[in-house]
Amino acid sequence: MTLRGIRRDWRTGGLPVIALALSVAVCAVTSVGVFNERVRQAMQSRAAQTLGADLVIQSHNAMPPEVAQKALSLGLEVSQQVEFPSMILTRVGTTRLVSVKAVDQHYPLRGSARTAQRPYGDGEVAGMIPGQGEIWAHSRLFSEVEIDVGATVQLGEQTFRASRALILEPDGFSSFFHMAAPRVMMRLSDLPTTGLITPSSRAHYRTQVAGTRQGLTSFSQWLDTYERAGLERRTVKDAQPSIRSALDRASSYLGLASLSVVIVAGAGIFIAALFYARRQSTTVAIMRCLGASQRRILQTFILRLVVVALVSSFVGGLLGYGGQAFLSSLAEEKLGSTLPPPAIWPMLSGIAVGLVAAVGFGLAPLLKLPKVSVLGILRGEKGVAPPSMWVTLGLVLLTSGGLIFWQAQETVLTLWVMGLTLCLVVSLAAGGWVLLWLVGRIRASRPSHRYVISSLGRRLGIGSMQVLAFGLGIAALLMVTVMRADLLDGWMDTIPSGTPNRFLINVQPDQHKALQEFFVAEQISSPGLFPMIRGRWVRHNGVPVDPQAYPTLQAQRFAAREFNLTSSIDLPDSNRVVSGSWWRAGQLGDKLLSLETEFAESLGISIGDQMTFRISGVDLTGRVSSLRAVAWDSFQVNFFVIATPGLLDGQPRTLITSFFMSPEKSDTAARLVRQFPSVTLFDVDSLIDQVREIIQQVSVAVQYVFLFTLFAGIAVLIAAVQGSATERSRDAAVLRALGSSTRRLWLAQFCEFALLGGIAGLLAAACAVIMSSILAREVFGFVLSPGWSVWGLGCAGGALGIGLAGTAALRRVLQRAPLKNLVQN
Amino acid sequence: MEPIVTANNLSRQVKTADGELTILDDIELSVMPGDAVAITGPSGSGKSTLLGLLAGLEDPSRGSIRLLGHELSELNQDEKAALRAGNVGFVFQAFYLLNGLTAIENVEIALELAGRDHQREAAGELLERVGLAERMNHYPPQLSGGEQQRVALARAFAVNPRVLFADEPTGNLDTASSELVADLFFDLRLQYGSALLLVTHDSTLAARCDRILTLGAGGRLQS
Repeated sequence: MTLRGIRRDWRTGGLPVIALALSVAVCAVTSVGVFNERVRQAMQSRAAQTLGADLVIQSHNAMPPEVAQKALSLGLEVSQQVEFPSMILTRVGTTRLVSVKAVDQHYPLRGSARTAQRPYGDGEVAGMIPGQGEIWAHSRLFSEVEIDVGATVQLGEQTFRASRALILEPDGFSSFFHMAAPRVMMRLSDLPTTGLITPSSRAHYRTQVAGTRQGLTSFSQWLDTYERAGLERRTVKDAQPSIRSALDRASSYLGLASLSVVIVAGAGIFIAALFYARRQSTTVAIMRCLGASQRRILQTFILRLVVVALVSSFVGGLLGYGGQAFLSSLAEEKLGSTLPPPAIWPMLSGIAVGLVAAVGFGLAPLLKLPKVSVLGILRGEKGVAPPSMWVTLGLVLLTSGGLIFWQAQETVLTLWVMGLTLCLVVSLAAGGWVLLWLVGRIRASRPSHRYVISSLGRRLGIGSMQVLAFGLGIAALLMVTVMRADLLDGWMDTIPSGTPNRFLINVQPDQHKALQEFFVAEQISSPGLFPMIRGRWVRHNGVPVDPQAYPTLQAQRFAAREFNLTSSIDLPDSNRVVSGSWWRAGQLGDKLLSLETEFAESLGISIGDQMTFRISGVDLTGRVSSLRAVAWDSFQVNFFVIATPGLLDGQPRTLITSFFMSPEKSDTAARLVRQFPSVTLFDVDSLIDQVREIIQQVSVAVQYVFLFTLFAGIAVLIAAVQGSATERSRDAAVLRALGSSTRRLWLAQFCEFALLGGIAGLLAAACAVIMSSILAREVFGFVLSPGWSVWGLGCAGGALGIGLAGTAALRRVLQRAPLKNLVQN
Repeated sequence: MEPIVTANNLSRQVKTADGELTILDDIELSVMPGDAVAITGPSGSGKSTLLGLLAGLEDPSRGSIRLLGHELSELNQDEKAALRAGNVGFVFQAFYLLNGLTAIENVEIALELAGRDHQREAAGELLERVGLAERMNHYPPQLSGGEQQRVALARAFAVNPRVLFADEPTGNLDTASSELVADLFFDLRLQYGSALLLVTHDSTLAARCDRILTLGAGGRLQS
């Protein structure tokens, strides 16, 4: 019954456009979703190398054996490590504090260590861990204690041979700020012989875990229920804020770009549903005459909508799943790497999005169907009443809001995008209404010109809706084409070719001048040296801090760790104050603090709160005066907490800096470390490459989204043209009967659509510029300077595109014999 | 004198689910200048189709039509439209005014299409003639059915047509409006001397024509 009804309704119009719009939307969401997931997995897998695993569990106490047992039982790979500080003694009696890391034979689970036969030599991938009775030591240790590779050193009760220089440990970067002493790596099985670890030893016990997504999820769920105090969890997200930041931005942009397709398609669905409801009014009037209840009528049409939505969403899902393979192959070709296999869940999500969009955008017009005036319709005097503005607005807002939240996963961003979308819709509809009204007021001497103008001015209701629909489509197209270039270029510019790729820590204040001179001599430009002061957060508004009292693991970790504080007069380049204000010149002596927003939010710290840090046994209290958004992927030196010089003056400190070192200056590193043996140099080239790679992936994907926006725009166009096709075909027939030539008819239609498209394009360009500027600022963290091309392209492209497409869509009407058009109307 | 409209051996078939259906069969017709011919017949007999074919608004399945000395089958759509412009007037049951134009603009556009620009005054005079002097700047949806049909009459006669095709011109009107429109219609026809082909159910309206033809079963025309 339902299927027969759908087949019948299909021919009367409306449903095919709903199906087309839905298929396009689901196809876009599915393909972008699957692609996004594949890129995310690939990037996380790459980023996991900086953690040495997919997940790390850490404890100050010996790791409970059931943690590893559980991971193994879930088919995951497991590696155990112990890390602790100790003193090393050379044969000539030199001692040095080192950071010992004892690893088992499975280490590392992701990535690989690199070692060399001489300190600061070219590293080779180490296929194994140090041999029994051997250690690998950081290059710095060799120069500090003046030994060569192969020398023997004593660690605890055992003597070891320093068999190789440790150039890179895959999981070293995440903890480098905390590692003041040079690293020494040894076999875990050798550890008992040293006698260094006792139950009261200060050590970090780690279990690294790696494996399938499913296994990791199960393991994480088990950990959630495993009640053992002191277990700390670290994932890639925690390890690399720069990668996480880039991935989050990429996901946000791609997700929101694909949602723009859904919203454009939503406009098409709404207009098509209006048309469908109008076409069904006579059927409904007759059903009412024959005794059908309002409830039954509503059920019938909702069921038809849902069935069409299900089928078209499924088709869109399948097409999207196939389409992402093409997208992925493009990305793989461009990046020269293979993406992980596709997951099925983005397709299911896409289908769910289709159902939600169908109901959210298509239901309002159908709700009026059971309430038609039977007599009015049968007399031909009335049609279906337009849907209630409040119901429509409510449904559309709820649907858009829900979908945006699902994609953004963040309330603030959702509210931003919702607010922007609402502003966009209102601006386009209201702007369209005003401009069409103004156009309608233009006096034209020739009636044929007046016909074009008045057609726009007269259909203010449907005209402004068409401007809205076309405007949404054009704005989305401009956002993902013209503005895409500006946005992605701007994002790429945040990590230009000279982005710092080396971090230098543990610089002593007395080395400051010499180091600056070294930089000048080596022609290296450094962004400056920042003080780094270590302190523990002990009180919040006078109340002692209890890390275990915080609900999230991230907050617990923040609260428990020792902070690297800095003081600065100026706001660092890659930082932006989002709340409160940066200190003025007259406040430098005050005790003020500026916090990174995410850090402050997770710890529940607000502007005006007092934070007390214990630095070298002294408690210092400052008041939070601003919150900052930090572009972690800028690779500049950044801090969670910055203080006024007045708060931290006189506290013991080291210095930190970052700088760019070109590949051809590799020997500079060796000279640097020889001249300043106590400093520690870190290479972050691989991280920068990963962020650049992510931006490139986004660039490929966005071109694909552009295509979908175009298809969604076509669906909107068809829906909009269909809505006024009856009147247009009647007018065309009358003009034809009165002697109008084909050329004149085409021209009249083209001019009308071109004017409509031009108006929509102008408004869309304005909206695209405003939205992109906000997106650049809020999501990508830079200030956008849009070019003029967006205006020209919006207006001219809109006029030409909509003019041609609208005329083409009415091709059949214009070519048909006039009598046929008159009879059909 | 050459006839204004002639139809020879004119047939029209349409395809239906049950096969081909003959609407008009072997129609022979000739209308001389100034003639008024009424075509009557039961609903669905093909009267409106015949009118549309004679005016070149659709093509016949077979046979020939000569309109104003031109064989329609030899003309393309644009040539047919150019022939109608300035020579042919139409009055439809459903008025078919352009809703985006005011009453006077609806009349003016017919003149513009006939190649006569800037004829606002002439259009205004015609509207005055049909009693719509006060409604010239109103849009069709703001006018009653009778008023709309009077605008349609003004539009049809504005170009001083040599032939007028009228399809149930009073079919959508109440009795009072119907009589008013019918009187205006025939008065104007006399004034302009146009030939008339009128499709109607209304026997009194048909009786005001010179000849009455009836379309009977099987799509055949009888005198």
